[in-house]
Amino acid sequence: MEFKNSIINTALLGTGKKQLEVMELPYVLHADFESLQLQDEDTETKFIKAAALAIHFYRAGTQPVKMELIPDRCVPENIGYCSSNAQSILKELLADKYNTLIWFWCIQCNNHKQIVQPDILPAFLDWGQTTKNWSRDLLVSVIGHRGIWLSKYNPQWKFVEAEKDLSEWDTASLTQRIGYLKKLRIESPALALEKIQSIWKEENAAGRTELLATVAVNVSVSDEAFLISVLNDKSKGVKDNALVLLKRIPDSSIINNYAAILSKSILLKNSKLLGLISKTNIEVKLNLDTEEIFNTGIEKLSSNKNINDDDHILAQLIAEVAPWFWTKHFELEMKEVVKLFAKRDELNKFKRAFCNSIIKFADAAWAKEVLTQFEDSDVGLLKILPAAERQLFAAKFAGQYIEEVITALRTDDIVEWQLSLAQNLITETAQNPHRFNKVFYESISVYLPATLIPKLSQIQVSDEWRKNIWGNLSIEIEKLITIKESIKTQAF
Amino acid sequence: MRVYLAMTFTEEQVAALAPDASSLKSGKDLGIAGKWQLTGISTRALWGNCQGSGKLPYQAQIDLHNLAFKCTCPSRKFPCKHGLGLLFLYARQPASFTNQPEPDWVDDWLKKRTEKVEKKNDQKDKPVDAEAQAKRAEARNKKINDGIEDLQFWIKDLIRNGLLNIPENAYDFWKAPVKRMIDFQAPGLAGLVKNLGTINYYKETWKYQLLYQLLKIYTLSESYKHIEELPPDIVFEVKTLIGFNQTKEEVFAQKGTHDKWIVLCRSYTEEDQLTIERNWLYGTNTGKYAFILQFITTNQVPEINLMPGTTVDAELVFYKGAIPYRALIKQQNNVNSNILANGLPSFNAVFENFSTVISSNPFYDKVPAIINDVRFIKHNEWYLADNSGFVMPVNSSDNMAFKILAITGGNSFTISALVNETEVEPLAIWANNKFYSIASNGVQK
Repeated sequence: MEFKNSIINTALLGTGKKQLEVMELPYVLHADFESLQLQDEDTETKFIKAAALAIHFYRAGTQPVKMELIPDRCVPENIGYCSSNAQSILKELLADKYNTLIWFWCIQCNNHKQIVQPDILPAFLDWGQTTKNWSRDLLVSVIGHRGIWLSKYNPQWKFVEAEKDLSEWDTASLTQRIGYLKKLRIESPALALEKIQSIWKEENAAGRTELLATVAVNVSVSDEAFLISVLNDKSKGVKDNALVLLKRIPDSSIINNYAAILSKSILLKNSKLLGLISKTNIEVKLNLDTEEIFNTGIEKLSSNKNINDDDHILAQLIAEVAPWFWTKHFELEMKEVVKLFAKRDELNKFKRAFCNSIIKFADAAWAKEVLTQFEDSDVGLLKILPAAERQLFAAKFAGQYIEEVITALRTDDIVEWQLSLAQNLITETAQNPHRFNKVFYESISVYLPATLIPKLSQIQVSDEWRKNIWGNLSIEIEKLITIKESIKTQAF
Repeated sequence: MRVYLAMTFTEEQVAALAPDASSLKSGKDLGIAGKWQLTGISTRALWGNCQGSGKLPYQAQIDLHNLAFKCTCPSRKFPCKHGLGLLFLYARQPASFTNQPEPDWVDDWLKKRTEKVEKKNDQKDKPVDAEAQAKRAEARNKKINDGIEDLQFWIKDLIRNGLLNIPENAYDFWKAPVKRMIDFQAPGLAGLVKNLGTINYYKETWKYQLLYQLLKIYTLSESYKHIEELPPDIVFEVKTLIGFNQTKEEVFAQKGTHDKWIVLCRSYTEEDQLTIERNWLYGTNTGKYAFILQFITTNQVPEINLMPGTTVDAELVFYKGAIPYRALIKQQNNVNSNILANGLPSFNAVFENFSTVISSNPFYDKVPAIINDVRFIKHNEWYLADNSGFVMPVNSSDNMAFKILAITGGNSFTISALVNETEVEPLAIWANNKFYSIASNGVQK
């Protein structure tokens, strides 16, 4: 196609500077070109006519080009596609950006061992790369081989890429290694710790902090030696994080030291009255041999004038030791220990600290017992309970801690809220429509039972302006629940 | 008795009818059985009663032969949310529509529509003042010729000085001649000159594109100067491109082509407060392509409603020209789901056809084609490869490319596209026996 380029070059330079020569054209056009040159016309007209003829000749003679291009075909799927109905619902959810319902849709799709139909993949992957609160594994489970194959064509869909496995450890980035280590810490914590130690010195403070976060997964006494060594790190932030992790190990030397102090400082003594009636006395007096504990993050002085320094120290120690320490120390069952902290003045003042220890060690049995016996406990205990049990105690906190309660009830293991609880919570949130808006209700829609729909109109709201907003919100909530139900019962 | 008509609509097809995003959302919300007090279907129409904020429910109905909508609601959008909702409901739950006699309000409307079509077809020309008409034609002809002199002078000036620095003035170098061509009553030429501003001057291909367009404008204008010497088909082509309109009456007077036409794609552009709707159709028996244009002003009801992916049993009439594509729908019988099209086997066959078409009509920038067994490949740029390993670059955004790859998985498919010597512009594809409109841009503004 050289003649085409010659014509273009002539046009670019301008006929004032360059003329088209007959030899620049294919032989078959020479006669016509020469005939045009003989016309009594200006140079530009002659060029334009010759060029028009040649370009038309070029166009009419277009031939495709052969190129050795290696085809890239996706392997066939081995899982069936979802139905058109399910796909339509997903399209609507993506268009409306209903992120929680999309997540719910993915769970249902995965549970039914189906995948999305391929035409939605670009929109779905675009959604995946913008949302933060999704599980890569869940998303990958519903996009099939086609989605994984497609993702490599767009750098923005890189998140689909599997984290590097062990064999690619050496070439992986820190981010990829972190992702891998988090998984490895679940399956094989010791091996993960080895890997961490192998690259520890290469990383800066920020990197070491990230690596420590992976140790938090499944942290145990096996990690103690490493964490103690990190207490000498030159970065204060890294040291502090290591200390926090050490305190999460119930049998670490630090915690054992605290327990030893508590053993001497809080004593249970049974005495007989008149030789017959048994009375339990509790002696609380801080018995501290050394001040070593103050180098491990324990504050010496109380900043609250209602709490003396000794009690402040004891409270911190109680918050750090595991709750089952008390069954061994008092030689009582869990229920009796909790009763002491609930009823006895000597220990009642430490109940907040006691709750904090249960939260720290995430012990569901202790959490349930405290929630049962304490009149006034910590809303943080809710999150320790299994999903189905959280609802039993949620109502206790709904009035004062509505957001914490809802956060605790938004479990990954989706358990629909009981109607009375849902109604109670929505009645609270309806009073503040600016704080609890459409986005909020979409985020909890998967937990709301269908039986709530007729109750929405019964919810009373104080002001006129709130009423108007609540009116629109209740329509939206009804729509969201309806969509959720259709995903649950009709889509798959 | 419930009757399922042969036609089925997907929700995507219904969504493509929505005039804007808000109507689409509202329409979807109304596509639920609970929103409709009454629904019915016949061979001609769908209808339903939908309770709105007023005392009486709104009556919405759809002419299934032409996909025309009517509703008693006060909305000026077209179709309104009720029409969309009714069709969404039908797409989602066809079983909820019972076949029954049309109520009076449906029958009346359909009768009026039929009368209107017959009246349009039978319309007689008003008597004209031939002498005045001839004078006007003469005056316009002179104006156009003056305009052509002006335009050719401008083009020659560009050629003399060279096109190299045009990109520096890409924004406006073409504006003055556009205005002049409008003044010279040559709106077609004005439009072609305006197109020079749409070339992508950041890509290397701008050099060829600009030269080609200038040569085309010059050739067209020169053809008009010698119009008496041209064959009749080319005369119509040249006059149309210059800016002479063929009236609808003239077009409807042509012999029609009856076929089952696949609606390949529908796209919208906005120009000067006018929405221009472009529809490409393919006749499954005749193998002909048709291009239907609609110009829609704000709140105007479009005359026709073509849904990409459906097949329209219709009689089309073509504008006069050399291998014309532009057509009007003379009569539409019904709408069905799409059927598979059979295309050309290779790029060699495509370019044989391309060569034949532009040899008869050199003014076509692109020529439609359907090509079987092609694959979509990335090699720095996007390419289509046929079965024999011949390739063509594809004019495709990444979004369009990802969509095609997602659907085809790198496997072979059939594509309908606009083709020229430099690229392929996808319109629609068939993959796994399903149709996908690729170039449709859905909701118009």
